Amino acid sequence: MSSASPIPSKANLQGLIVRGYTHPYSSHLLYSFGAQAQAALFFKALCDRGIQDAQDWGAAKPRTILNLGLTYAGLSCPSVLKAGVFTAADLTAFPATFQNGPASDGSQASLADVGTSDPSQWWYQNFQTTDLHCIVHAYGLTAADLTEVVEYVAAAARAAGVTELFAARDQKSRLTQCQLPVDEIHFGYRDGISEPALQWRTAGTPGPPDQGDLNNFLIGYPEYALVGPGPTSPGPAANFAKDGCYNAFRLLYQDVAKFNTLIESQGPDKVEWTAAKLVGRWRNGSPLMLSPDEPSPATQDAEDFLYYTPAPSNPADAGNTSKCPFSAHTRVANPRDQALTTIEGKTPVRIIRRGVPYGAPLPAGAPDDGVDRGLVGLFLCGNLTSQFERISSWMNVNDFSPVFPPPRSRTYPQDALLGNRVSSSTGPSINTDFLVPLPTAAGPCPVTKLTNLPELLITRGAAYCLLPSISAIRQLAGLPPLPALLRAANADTQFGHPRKPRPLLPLENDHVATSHY
Amino acid sequence: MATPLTLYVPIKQDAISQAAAQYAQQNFVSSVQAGLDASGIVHYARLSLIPNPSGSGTLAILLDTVFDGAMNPYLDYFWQNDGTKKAFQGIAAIALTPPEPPVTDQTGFENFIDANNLNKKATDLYQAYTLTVKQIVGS
Ligand code: HEM
Repeated sequence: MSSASPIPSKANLQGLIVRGYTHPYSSHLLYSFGAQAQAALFFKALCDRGIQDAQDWGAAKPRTILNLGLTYAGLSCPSVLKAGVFTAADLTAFPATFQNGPASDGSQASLADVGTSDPSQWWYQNFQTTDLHCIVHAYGLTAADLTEVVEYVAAAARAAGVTELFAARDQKSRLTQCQLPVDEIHFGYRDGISEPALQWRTAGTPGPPDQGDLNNFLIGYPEYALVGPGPTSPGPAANFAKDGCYNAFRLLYQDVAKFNTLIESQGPDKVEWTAAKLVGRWRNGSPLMLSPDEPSPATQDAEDFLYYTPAPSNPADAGNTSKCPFSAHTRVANPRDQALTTIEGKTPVRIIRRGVPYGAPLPAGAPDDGVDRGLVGLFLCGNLTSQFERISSWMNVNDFSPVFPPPRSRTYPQDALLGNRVSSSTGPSINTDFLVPLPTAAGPCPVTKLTNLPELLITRGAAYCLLPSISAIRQLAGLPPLPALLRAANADTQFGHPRKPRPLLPLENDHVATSHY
Repeated sequence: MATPLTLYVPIKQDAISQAAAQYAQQNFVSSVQAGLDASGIVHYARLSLIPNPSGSGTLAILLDTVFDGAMNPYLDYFWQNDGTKKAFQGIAAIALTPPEPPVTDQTGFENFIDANNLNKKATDLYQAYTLTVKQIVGS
């Protein structure tokens, strides 16, 4: 390996890649470039306003922010090709998974959207997935800020003949973040705690390459990447994609009433316990591995823990399952030091999560009110299939570790929170029971069994987007490249923004909305 | 139910390519055995040579395999394993239409498989059992 490993310029990366914004207001705007569209004009208007890059903003948190992604169908539109940056033939150098999109058979083998989640049902059938060309992510510090920036984008789209698409049942509402307490999502959990560190690895970085290194998320730097972000072969597509990252955009409806029934199923004193076992963290954020018996403000932001190390105090409970069940959502989505089967590689892949909740919250104790609510899921990765689709397939079939299942049981469990509860046509039979081992002094672990887990999510839509570099967007806008000074690499290898610990709130006040950024 | 991959690649008619196809077929099992064994997901893999209609020489290579679960996320494993990588690169090297992008990296490999896979959905696969390889051979 050469020692001169280039460091990307923070001025050239979209900021969303390296930091979760924590702006309380956001809207995710969907666009199509029809025959009359002047895509370049639209991109130019967005560039004039400013696409947020990855440079540190210090104490001056921007009032509004814009970022954007383009689907393969978007890149292939005549009005985008007109910029002359690449030809339709050049684009075939992009990975097939990005080209074919999440509704394709190849991707569906992992995502397994069936029944009401079937791709034919996506977007309330308001439009076809292939009509979706561009997603603009707009953020505001206040409701007024968001309204202002969204109006700017909407006006720019109108001026450029770009068509806005609506994914809501009423065919006119936008995907707008709902007002839940900071970092909370429907189902009442704190989210956005565990993220890859996004350190830039060079020849001088100590230790072996890590799945959480930014090198695995940015296109164009194969040297220390473990997952091969592509396109990699030299050419116009690779030049355009360099310093970009993919976004697996997933609009996921959450059935809160069904979830509430599930966590109440084990008795009134076990509601929080059941919620914690399903995810592997208490709803305040405390990981079960660090706070097995009750949530603790002191561990609410903890990311640094493992499943096997230190060795379990109860050897009969190999892997500490009496603290955190194998199929708990966070243990499936990032099994950390748990052994993986040979084909999964040595260490689990990571993804960056930048999603926000949408839809008005269901009032406490209320039955289902028919309101659409859930997660606008933004799952960022350098390799859609090796990272995002792999973790998705783990959720639908827990077969990624030798701990699953006892060979004679012949059925595999699923992610306790997110499994689709359906055996896929290409996978093995699945088991909808959730086993929760209980702590004992010694000897075999007794278990509580939650039988017939319900399906808690419906996929309302999905798109694979490229979050191009700032220079790449400027090219599409017909603007000159960023000044050389800004494009130049510097020596700073710390890209990730570790989450600032929240104030240690007493648990009863845990849901108070505070902004600590 | 498992997933099939049916890779159909018409090959060049020159003597070297034709000989390479013969060699690939004769040595297929020994070259991929270790990688496929360790993968723990492949039920069967077979490499056949489709004869030219004239009866002389080989028209195309047909790699036929059946495995558990999704394919795309695991292509990187087959790309990183020496035996399987060489087998796939060998086929790409004698393809009548040279793959674009070339099969020199993971993206090229993924795109080559995607472009030449005859059946991406298991609608035409009969299987007498639903067990996975891990369930059959133990893990
Ligand atoms: C509406 C659907 C979802 C809900 C309610 C949900 C909920 C949660 C919660 C409560 C956490 C713990 C907080 C944290 O560690 O930051 C978490 C972590 C995580 N989730 Fe999800 N999630 C959802 C969808 C997904 C999907 C679709 C994926 C990936 C395909 C995913 C991947 C992850 C990962 C990688 C972690 C971090 C695990 C770790 O590093 O320990 N989640 N999720």
